[in-house]
Amino acid sequence: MLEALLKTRLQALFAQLFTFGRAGKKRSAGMKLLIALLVLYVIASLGFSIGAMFDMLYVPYRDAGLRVLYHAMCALAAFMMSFVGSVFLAQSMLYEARDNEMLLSLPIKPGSILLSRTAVLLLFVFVFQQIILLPSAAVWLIHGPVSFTGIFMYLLTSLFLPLPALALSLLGGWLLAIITQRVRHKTLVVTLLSLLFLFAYFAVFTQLPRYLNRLIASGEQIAQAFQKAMFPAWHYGLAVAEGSIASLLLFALTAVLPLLLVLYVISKSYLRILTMKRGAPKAVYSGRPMKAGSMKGALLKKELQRFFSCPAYMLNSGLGLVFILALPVLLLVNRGILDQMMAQFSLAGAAPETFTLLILTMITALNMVSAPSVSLEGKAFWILKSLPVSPKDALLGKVRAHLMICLPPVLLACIATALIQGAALPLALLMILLPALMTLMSGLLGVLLNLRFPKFDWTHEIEPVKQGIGTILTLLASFLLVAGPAALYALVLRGKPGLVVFATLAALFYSAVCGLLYLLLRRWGTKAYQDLTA
Amino acid sequence: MLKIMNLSKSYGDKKAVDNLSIHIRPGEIYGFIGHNGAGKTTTIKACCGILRFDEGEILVGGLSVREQPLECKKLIAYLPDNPDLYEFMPGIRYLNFIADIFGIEKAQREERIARLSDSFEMTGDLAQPISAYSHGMKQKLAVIGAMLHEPKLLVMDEPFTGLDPKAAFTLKGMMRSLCDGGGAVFFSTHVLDVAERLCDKVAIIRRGRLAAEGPMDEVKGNESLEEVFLELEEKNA
Repeated sequence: MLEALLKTRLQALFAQLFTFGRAGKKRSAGMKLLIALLVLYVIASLGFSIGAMFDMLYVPYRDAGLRVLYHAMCALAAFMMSFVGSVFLAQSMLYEARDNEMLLSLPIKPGSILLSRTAVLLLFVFVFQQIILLPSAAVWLIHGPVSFTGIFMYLLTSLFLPLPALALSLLGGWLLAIITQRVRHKTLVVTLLSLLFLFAYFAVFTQLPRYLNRLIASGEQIAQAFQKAMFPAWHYGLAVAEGSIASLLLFALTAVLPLLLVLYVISKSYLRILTMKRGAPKAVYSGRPMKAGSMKGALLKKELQRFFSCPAYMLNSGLGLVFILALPVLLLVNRGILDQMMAQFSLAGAAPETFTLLILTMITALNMVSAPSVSLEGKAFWILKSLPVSPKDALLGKVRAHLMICLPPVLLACIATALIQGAALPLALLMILLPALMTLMSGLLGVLLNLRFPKFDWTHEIEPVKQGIGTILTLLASFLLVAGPAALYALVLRGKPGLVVFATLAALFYSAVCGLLYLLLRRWGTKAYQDLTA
Repeated sequence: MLKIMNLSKSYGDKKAVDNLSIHIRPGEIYGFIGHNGAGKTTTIKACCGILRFDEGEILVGGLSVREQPLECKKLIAYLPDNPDLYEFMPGIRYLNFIADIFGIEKAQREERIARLSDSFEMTGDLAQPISAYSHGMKQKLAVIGAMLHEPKLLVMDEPFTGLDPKAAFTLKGMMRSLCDGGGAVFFSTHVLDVAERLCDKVAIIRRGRLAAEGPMDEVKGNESLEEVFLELEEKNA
């Protein structure tokens, strides 16, 4: 039974990547190549930035005889990364999957359902950990010393490393499920908790350069602290750096035991949580006077309601809005942060406005509100299709919602940033115009790519929102549309012509792309929409 | 009211509907019967402009579904077999959304929502999120939403599944009233007793082709609809 469930879960996971549409058509060879290139690109870009960070640490630690500490810190970083990435996933995968009731109606033990979902979560945890482990191991392999035993131990310990993170994510997901079933405003609570979590994570992230310097300077003290407070990570380091079998066994034990304990605790209440329907007190309809609105307004409101009712959608697709609003606040609180960030990106000599413009546009490109919006129609797609709504209106409703959600915070942040920086009027206008155009561009692009790669048979909203190929491609394309001109300006044109002239040309280019995307939406998009069925 | 002419639709190599022709006149309740996978849902979805078809023509009130889909959809109300609605909305907001799409004026929508919700005993539940509804409640809300713009043609796929006896009775009454007012109803069902008692005309479809069609009395003769259906199945097996 467990084997069958596992097979189904893995098939669903791979189908997500390699099939599309209602008929589950297989992706073409070209598309598979594109996905592979996309994955490679993401791995490479993440790998280089994380690798650069670990590169700063490794040589000083090695020379100080602290290789154990290096590997212990890699393990800790991988543990944290995978926990952050998987805790909310654990809650949605284990407790909110739409097929839970169907599975419970079958003669399947709840424990088997739990284990099959845990296995898929383990796969996610493993992948999240590789984001840290692969670049940090590459740094170690490049600088050496490397032995066969070391590599063997590294591979072995890396297999156990996801287990404690999985245990903590399962526990976190379990607590979240219990909390959200007991509160009235579930969406609000989950959103606030997630934001709190993210702020904590990014607070650590933004302080990394300072931490890195401290870590390099006080390796000995940190090593002592690690030995005492984080002994599993320390034994991981000992196993990899010194080939200690005793440490390997000890680490494996500290990895396996908590997971077994957590699984035992969760399995005791899994069925009860899945079948518990406490909910909120019943809202009674009071028959208030209604407001009549336009068709376009109704479509817009529907999209907005969907966005604001789903924490997973809000947090994953609108995260850029949190960052962009945080930027002027950061600049106001810590005026030196811009110089620190520029130094971190080796841009110490560049004009601060250049960097601000780049950051504002880049953060705007992170907003993916429209990218999963077609897939999110899911099985209710028949409503839009059967109503007298033209494909153009239906699709533009999604773009409008994207603009309505993203533009006000983007404009506010851009105006505030321009004022704080005291930018001259032409540049200030461009600091507002470029992110605004980027918002429109990613809105149009998101809908178009989602029309090309729709996925209606999801079991939880997080699937199209987080794992949809359309979302990933929109993110990549938007990023390239920022990084491309930026690289052209910095590397090829080397800052000539001036920033205002170049940014004006970029604005013209963005306007042309927006126009092109709009035409594409009206022609190809409307036809593709008519061909779609859920 | 609904004229299906030589309709064909394939999914890859499989022909789901093959040269199907049906004519439903105003005032008729028309039943559509067939085994699972016979092509009923495909035909119904094609009539409502949800699904593109390969060949043939479908006219609603004399308008082509292919050429003037929006005008046709203004005349139609569609009810699917599984009422997947916008779970993130409360019931009343869903009805308001539908009313906005059809441009129903404030006073009219208030009166219709109140009347239809009362008929299906749903008024007290309209403030609840749809995600909290049972299958039957979702089905009732979908019916209310479908009737809100007072359609001329009601197209339904297995409409009685999930409805409690009282709601089913109410729906049957609404179907008859619609036809008495010059409208028409086209619906698929597996409940042959209901079809026999309710329908003026019936079509039996088998492997995408029309196996029998006409006024109920002519199609069934002295037998029951169930016997006719089973005989046709055996004959074509």
